[in-house]
Amino acid sequence: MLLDLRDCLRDAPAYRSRLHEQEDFVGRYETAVRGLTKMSRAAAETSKDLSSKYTQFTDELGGFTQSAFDPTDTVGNTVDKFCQTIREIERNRTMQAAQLMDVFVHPLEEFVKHELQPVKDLKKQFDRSSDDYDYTLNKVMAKRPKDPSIPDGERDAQLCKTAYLDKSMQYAIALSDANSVKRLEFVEYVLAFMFTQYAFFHQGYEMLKDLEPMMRELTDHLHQLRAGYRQDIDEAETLKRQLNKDVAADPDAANFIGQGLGPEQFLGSKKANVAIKKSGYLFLRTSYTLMASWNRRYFELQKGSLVHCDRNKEKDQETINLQVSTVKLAPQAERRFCFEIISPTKTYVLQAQSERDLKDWITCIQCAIEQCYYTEKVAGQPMDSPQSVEASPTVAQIDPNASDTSRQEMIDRILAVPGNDHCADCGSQEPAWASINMGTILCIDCSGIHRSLGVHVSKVRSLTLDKWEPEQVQVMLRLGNQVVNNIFEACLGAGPDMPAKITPATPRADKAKWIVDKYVNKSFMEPTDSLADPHQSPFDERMWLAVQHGDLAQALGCIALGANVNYRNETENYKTALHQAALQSSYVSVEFLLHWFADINAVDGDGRTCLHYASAVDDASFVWFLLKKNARLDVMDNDGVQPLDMALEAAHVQVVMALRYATFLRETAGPGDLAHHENNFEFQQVLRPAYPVAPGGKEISAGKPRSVSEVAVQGGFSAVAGGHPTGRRQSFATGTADSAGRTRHVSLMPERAVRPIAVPGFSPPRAVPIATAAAAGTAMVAGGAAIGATAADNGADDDATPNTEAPAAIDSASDTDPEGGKSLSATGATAPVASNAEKKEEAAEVITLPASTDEKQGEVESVDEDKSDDGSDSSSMTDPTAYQELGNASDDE
Amino acid sequence: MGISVSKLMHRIFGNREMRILMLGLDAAGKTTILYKLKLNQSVTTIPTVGFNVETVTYKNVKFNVWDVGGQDKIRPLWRHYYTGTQGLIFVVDSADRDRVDEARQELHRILGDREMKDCLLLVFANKQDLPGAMTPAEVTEKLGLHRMRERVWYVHPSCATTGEGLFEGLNWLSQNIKTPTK
Repeated sequence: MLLDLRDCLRDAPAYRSRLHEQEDFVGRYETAVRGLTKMSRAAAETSKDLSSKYTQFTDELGGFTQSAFDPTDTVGNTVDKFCQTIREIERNRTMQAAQLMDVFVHPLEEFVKHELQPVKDLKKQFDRSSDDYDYTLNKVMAKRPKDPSIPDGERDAQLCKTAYLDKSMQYAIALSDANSVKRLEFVEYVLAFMFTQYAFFHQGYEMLKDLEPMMRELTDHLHQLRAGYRQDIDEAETLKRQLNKDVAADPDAANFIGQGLGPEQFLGSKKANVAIKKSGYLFLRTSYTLMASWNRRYFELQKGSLVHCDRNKEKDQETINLQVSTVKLAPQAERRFCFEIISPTKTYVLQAQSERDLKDWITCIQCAIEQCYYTEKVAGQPMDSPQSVEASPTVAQIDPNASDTSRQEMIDRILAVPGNDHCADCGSQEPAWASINMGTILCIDCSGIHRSLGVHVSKVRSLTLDKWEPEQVQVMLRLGNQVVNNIFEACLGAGPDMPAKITPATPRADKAKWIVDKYVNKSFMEPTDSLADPHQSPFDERMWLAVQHGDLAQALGCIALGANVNYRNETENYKTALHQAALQSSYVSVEFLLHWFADINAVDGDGRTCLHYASAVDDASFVWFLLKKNARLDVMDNDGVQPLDMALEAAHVQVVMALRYATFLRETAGPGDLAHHENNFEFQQVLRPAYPVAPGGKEISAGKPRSVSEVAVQGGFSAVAGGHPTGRRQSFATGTADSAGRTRHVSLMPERAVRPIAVPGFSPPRAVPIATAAAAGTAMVAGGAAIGATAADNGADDDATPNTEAPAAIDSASDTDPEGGKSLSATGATAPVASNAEKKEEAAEVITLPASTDEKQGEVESVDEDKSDDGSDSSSMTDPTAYQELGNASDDE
Repeated sequence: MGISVSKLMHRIFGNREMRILMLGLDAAGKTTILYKLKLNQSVTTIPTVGFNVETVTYKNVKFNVWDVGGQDKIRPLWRHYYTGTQGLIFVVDSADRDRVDEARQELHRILGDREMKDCLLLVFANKQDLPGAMTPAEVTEKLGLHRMRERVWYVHPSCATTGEGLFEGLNWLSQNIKTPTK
């Protein structure tokens, strides 16, 4: 509806009215556009707001899902995807709002500003020019005809008219333009707006469509979960009904449900693998000066301790260390069902809720306490009470068999001996106590009765709680319940007068009487008269022979029948059984005899003690063993010879060291401290491993490292025992030889003058002390290395025939005198006697020659021949005369 | 005068309390002593795994006697009982000559602890009824008691099963207990 420009020239009132119409329309249009921009702006803002709210919502949702579900869970994963998508959509929404501004709001605003505003400006100009024209026209027309200014006025009027017409047409065109063409632009904006809307929703749709399969999956998953929960709820319902029924039947049951094993399962079982579980509420008495208050607290048995806390304050815990606690009933308390847990620092009075609960608690705590003792490594365990400074070195920590595994091995081996799976007396299961002199295994009850008999009848030890010397273990392995009961219960059940064996259920007093009958009165042994065969030797001699054959069971039987342990065998130069055991270096026989009060200082026909015998054999460990058993060092034989003299003569360097070290300790540290000091590092090197034991449980009485040189090799230790170069004083020294062969003297102690050591079969130059560290140390290392291998082989060889002749070991070593280039060889000779029983267990030692030049080898061989002649002539080095010979031969003073 | 004051104190404060720790090697007779004192009867015991504690009142003194098991492996636990101990009763099996050295070592280890610095030492040379039992003098010598300085000690022969000597020991403890510092 364009304005006709011709009408414009005519300027008819109709035109004017149409002009006004058009103006109105533009005015309304402007108002509408302003409203539109305002609304769309608001919409864009709201949209932005909405998307930020949605983003916050998804953040919230994602956070919750993460906390509520496992990130690996399907639910968590899926919801996370959902959130991502929604966030993406919202990002698009923000963009869409921005676009709305760009493609719609801003252009509209521009439109108003650049298109409509000029029209309004033109209208003003048009109105003014119209007014100007009217005015000038009026003015010129009003003039008198003769007025000279008419031509000017007419010219002005003409000008105004021209300007008016110009403006009028401009305005008409602008108005038409605004009303028609520019309106099309508006449609463009609307269209752009619609396209953004479409793009946004389309994109959103596509994204959500991708999620569809996941949504379906989640729906299925949800169904499954729901089904699962329903089942759980059903189960819980069933359990609830069951529990209600239980509690209705026994109001106390609530205290026992969910405790795992009942207390009866723990009784008597000290095994570490049974975890004792018990927890529940107890009233704890807190006493103030005048009145006591009782707090209900939750108690729980944990490994080795009882932990209790308040119901609502789980962190506020207190722990009672059960290892140093005891539990007992507290009948004198002012409430019912009370019991006490007593620790050195505090007594806890606790109240259970019922009689049954009380018993249950006491049993469980008692078992837990016992378990502490039987399973925990007691020593070195951190405790709650303050550490005392001096308390650190305990016997248990020094104890070589302190480690749990080796102890368990030891126990297993002892329990594997026939009959040892039951108590020797009452036959109850899982016995854990032992009588070390009887060699039997007992239950704790019978062990209590044994203890009451006195150590002259039975010496009781715990398998788990006591220290065990290797020799004691060996005695246990030699005897055992079956063997010993064959002796002490030989006639049990045989005659009408004989009572039956006791059982674990036998009353305590009857048990005690029976055990006294068995061990003290020996009522169940074969009657002495039936054994006293006139053709057989008396018990004393039989015992002696049994020890000689290593038959401890028979020896025990003879001792029980009254054999004198210290019997001196006239046919054997008045040797006691202990002498015999010492000759064989049999730790186990010595240990056994000492259990039965053999006199370790008993003398034979030559006035020699077993230490004399041992000192003549090159076995420092065995000598040390006797010394630990309080063998006297100062006993002189009929020729005035002491054990040390014998060792010196035989040049048993390690034995000399052991004897001197013992002398030193006895003088300085007081009696009986030897065991304590043998852990001295330097001295340890002298002793061979205390008691090597074959896996099969068989005793190997001669350990692998046997010779002096080998010990030296093992420990890098060289013992120096020799004359002082000046010959006036002799010193006792221990030291370690370094690689250069020099000796670092660690301790020195003056000794009484003794003639220098002479090595049998070899005469050293007078001024050269045998054990000058440079020579002896390196020589020993050289010689011992070869022996180590062969001796080890032989030690493992069980097939050695019992009748093998006593093997002689000769360790030879040679070295070159640094000065004269002359060959200096140190030779130590050992010829231990292996008698029937011991022989096959003895590690045979073989003559080993060090690699050397032919010349030297010749020398050494000749020495060997001399030596073996000596050995075979006397057939036994332990023959007293052999000592004499050796002593004389080697005495070169 | 001093005596009458202490008697007066006695009358005012009534029973005194004394914390006693009873130690010794396993099978020395500690538990038997404890129950002989407590119940005045000879009970048959089993080895103590853990400890027993009983209160024995004798001559107005309340003795709180802690009897702790003596097996080798559990001896390291003894020190947990030292705190507050006023008197140590060390029980020795007088018939077990083989282990008197071990007993001496344990005794000296206990007394070396600073918590036991001031406590009285009562040694029961127990099991005097057995053949070959060491005399109290012998036990004193073997335990090296003469070499100890700054220690109030007393050795008394006893026989836990009959109760001989036990109350004499308690009597000595009650007479030598230190009056509480003011």
